Order: sequence, then C-alpha cells, then structure tokens
Amino acid sequence: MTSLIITQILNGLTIGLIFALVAIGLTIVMGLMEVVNFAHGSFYMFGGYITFFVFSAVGSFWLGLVVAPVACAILGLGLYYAIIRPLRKRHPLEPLVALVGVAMICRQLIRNIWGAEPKLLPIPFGRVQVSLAGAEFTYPIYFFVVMGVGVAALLALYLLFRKSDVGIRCLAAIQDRDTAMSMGVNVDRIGSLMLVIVMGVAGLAGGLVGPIFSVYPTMGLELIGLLFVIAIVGGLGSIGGAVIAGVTIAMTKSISSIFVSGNISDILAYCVLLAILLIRPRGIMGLATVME
Amino acid sequence: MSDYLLQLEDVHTYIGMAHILRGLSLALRPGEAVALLGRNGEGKTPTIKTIMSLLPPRRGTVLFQGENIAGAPTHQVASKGICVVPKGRHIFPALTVMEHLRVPVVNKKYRREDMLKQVFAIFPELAERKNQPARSLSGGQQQMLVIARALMTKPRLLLLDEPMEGLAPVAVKRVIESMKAVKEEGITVFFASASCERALAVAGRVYIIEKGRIVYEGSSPELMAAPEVQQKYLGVRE
Ligand SMILES: Nc1ncnc2c1ncn2[C@@H]1O[C@H](COP(=O)(O)OP(=O)(O)O)[C@@H](O)[C@H]1O
Ligand SMILES: [Mg+2]
Repeated sequence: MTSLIITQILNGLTIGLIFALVAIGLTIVMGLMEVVNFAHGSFYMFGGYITFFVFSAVGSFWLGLVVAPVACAILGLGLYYAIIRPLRKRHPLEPLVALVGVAMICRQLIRNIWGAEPKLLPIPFGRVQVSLAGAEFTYPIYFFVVMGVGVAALLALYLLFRKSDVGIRCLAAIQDRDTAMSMGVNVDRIGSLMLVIVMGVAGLAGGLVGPIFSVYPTMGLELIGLLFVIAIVGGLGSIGGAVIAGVTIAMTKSISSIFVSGNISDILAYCVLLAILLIRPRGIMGLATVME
Repeated sequence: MSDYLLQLEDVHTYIGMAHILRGLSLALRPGEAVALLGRNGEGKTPTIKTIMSLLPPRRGTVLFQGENIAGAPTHQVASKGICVVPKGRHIFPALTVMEHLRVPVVNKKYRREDMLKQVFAIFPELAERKNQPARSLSGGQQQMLVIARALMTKPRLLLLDEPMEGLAPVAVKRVIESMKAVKEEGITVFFASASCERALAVAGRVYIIEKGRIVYEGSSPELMAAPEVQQKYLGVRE
C-alpha cells in the first residue's frame, strides 16, 4: 500500500509539472494579450506528433524532443502574427472564434496525416529499484527524467521572469499594459517573443508525454479545459499559481485513483480546484501577486 | 524649429463615441513647469493620455520638438523623451522597487547604473527599500517610486496626472520638492491638478481646462491675483 501511494505521488508530480508548464504559457498569453488562446493545446499536440514523426523517421526520441519545441516556437510566432496580433483589439469573441477554428483545423490535419488512433512512443530507459519510507518498489527511470526536465524548464522560466529585463517588462505589461508602454516598453515585440517561448515549452511538454500517454489527435483539445482551470485557479498571469494548481490537480487525481475509479478521481480533482476558487475568487495568487 | 518643446494644436480626442477634447491647444517651453488646472471631468486625464498616445487624437497635431507624434505608438512617444506619472500611481503590484526601475527602457545614450544613481539621489527612501514589493510601500513612497520610474527613461518632458491627490500632507510636501528637483534637472514639467493652491507651489504658468478646451492661460502670479477666475473655473459650483 505504501509503495502504491508513493508511486502515485511520483506520478502526480510528474504529470503535474507537465500540466503546469503548458498552463504557464496559457496564463502568460492571456495576461499579456488579453486573448483566450484556445489553440494552446494544439501546440502541445504538435509537440507530441513532431517528436513521434522524428522518432519514426530517424529512430531518435531525443532528437524529436529537440526538434518539437523549435518547430512549435516557429509555429507560435506564426500564430502571433497571423491571428493574435491582428485580432486582439477587436471584440473578444473574434480572436476566440478564430483560435477555436485553429484548434479544430490542427486536430483534423493531424487526423488526416496520422489517423485517429493513438501512437505510443516507446518509453526510454528501464525501471529502477526504489526504497523510500520503508517501501520497496520499481519505478520507470523516464519519469524521473521528465521531472528533471520539468523542474529545469520551470527554473528557466523563473529566471526569465524574475531576473531578465524582458521578463520583468512582460510581467509589468501583464499587470498594467498602458503604463508599461508609457515606460517605452514595446509590448507587441514582447508578445511575439513570449509566443515563441511558451509555444516552445508546450511543444516540449507534448513530446515528453508521448511515452507516458501516447500521442493522439484530441490530446490538445482534451487538455485545454484543464489548462484554463489551472490558469484561473492559479490566478491569471501567475506562474507560481499555475505550478501549485497544476501539481494539486494531478496529485489529487493520481492519489484518489488508488481508492476510486478514474472518472470519480477526475471529478474529485475539479472539486478541489473549485473549492480553492471559492476561498480565493481571484485564484491562488490573484493578479496582484504574479510570480510569487 | 519653434521655441516650444511641446505644442498641441486644435486637438480633438474621443473616448468611444464621446467627444472629450474639443479643439484643445497649448504649448510648453523647454525647462518650464506648467499646471493644467480644471475641475473633475473637464478633460485633464484625456489631455495627458493624448500626449502619451494612449488616447490618440482624431484631429489636430501634437508637436514634440517639432515632430508630429499624434497617433505614434506609445512606446515610441516614450523613447522620444516623454514620460508619465499616471493618475492613481499605477504601480506594478507584484514587482519590487528595483524591478520597477528595470521596466523603463533607458535611452541608449545613458547607462542604467548612472540613471539609478541619479534617481536614488533624489529619492533616498527608495534606495533603502530596493527589494521591497511596491505594494507594501506607503502611498507617498509609491508616488516617489512612480516618479523615479518615469525618470529612468531620462525624459525631456515629464507629465504628471494629479500627483498630489490622495496623499498625506507630508507626502504632498515630498512630491512638491521632488517635482521642483526634476525641474532643476532641466526637465520640462507638465502636470494636471484640481487644486489651484498646491499647483501654484510648483508651476510658473497655468492653463485651465473646461469641457475639453483651454479657457484661461496665465502666469502663476496672474492667477493668484485673480480670485474671480479661480472661483469661476475651479471653485465650488453654485
Ligand atoms: N470611458 C469613458 N467613456 C466615455 N467618457 C468618458 C470615459 N472616461 C472619461 N470620460 C469623460 O471624459 C471627460 C473627462 O473626464 P476625466 O478624464 O475624469 O477628466 P479629468 O481628468 O479632468 O477629471 C468627462 O466628461 C468624462 O465623463
Ligand atoms: Mg483625471
């Protein structure tokens, strides 16, 4: 029993870090551009399929994991200039409808190329013997690798937003766009850079989960609802909040799934997030305390 | 080129459908401190936002150093040498004092380290609180911070929208001192105020705005000697 609980905690942490990485991108884009990016999950899906494509073409999963974020970053720049920038000042429904359209097109495109059935990437590395809190069990090494990459990516984002001028200016623009512009900040250019970064991160996350969940055309659309919940519960524009909310939801799901069926554990996880939202209507962090 | 640093000519600005500035004209000479007086709702904030291009005018020209900047992107207006202390301060609540001072884009001719030294010399209270979150500062300290933030761009023209409003008397005194210090640096100061008495402590010249037009222009001593003008445009309405 102990080993099962520990295993599920490790699983929750791994998946939670992935959720958080993707949700941070969503929260930054919403905060900075005031656009609801329904197509965010599509880039996560692209990341998964690009990794799968590279793996099936040249046989290297790791090369796929490098190509996926680069390709998604370039596609993100395209999305910024084609849709987000031209439509963001219009009625909020216009960019939303356009981005829903992009998400649908992406899913259909992938389905036409690779079909609807999931493609499982082989899990790299074997399992390792773990002894923790008196329990003995084996655990896939790859999950530890994902945790490591996830933590490294979060650390990189932390350094970007707290230690670099462009990151600090981005946070300032999220909190008060007009005032940031009045200080000479070119918010448009920061927007394009942020799209490159967050879509690259989403692509990386999509590639990383390939061996865990497999990749399939609806993987992005399935995730988007959860991403919005994480972004809102974390507090719009808050990175720390997204991490806490992402790990909380994944942890609740994986631990409760020991005791109840998968569907019920999903419901439980959303209930926990709703409870947080009732206690803190503006999210864990609220907009006032971005990045803390 | 004219003698003016900034010149607004027959400016018309709309907020949505509402015609707010209705043919406003004014001009500032380099190095002077000028107040824009008027009751609430007469168009002071729209004037400041129009200059900053946050509310681009539909008609008219905004000449800065002889160049028409009407409708230019706001960050370019800032890079040409105009900065603003917005009404209600507008701190970035989640950023520290030091992070606030890293937001402004410093003109390439200057080094940020030098600019920091300059603003900390004017505002020693900020140097002591570099790593404090801005929202934990007092109202007066926050006002110092947003003036310092604007100065980091090394502007030629500093706009301030009701900089003394809602502050304790000691803080008002500090704001007045720091505005005078800014003027001493050779920076042109243009500020909106609803209080004639406080504005005259800083300004050498005043404009009065009513319904989106300038209705009075004069030196501070002239306005001081004209209580009937003060009553007509700034006093409590009968
Ligand atoms: N969002 C808005 N939509 C329409 N009219 C507005 C808006 N904001 C301000 N106004 C109008 O603009 C005029 C100037 O208001 P305000 O900016 O408060 O002036 P001041 O700074 O002199 O107090 C007022 O007539 C006000 O009703
Ligand atoms: Mg005002």
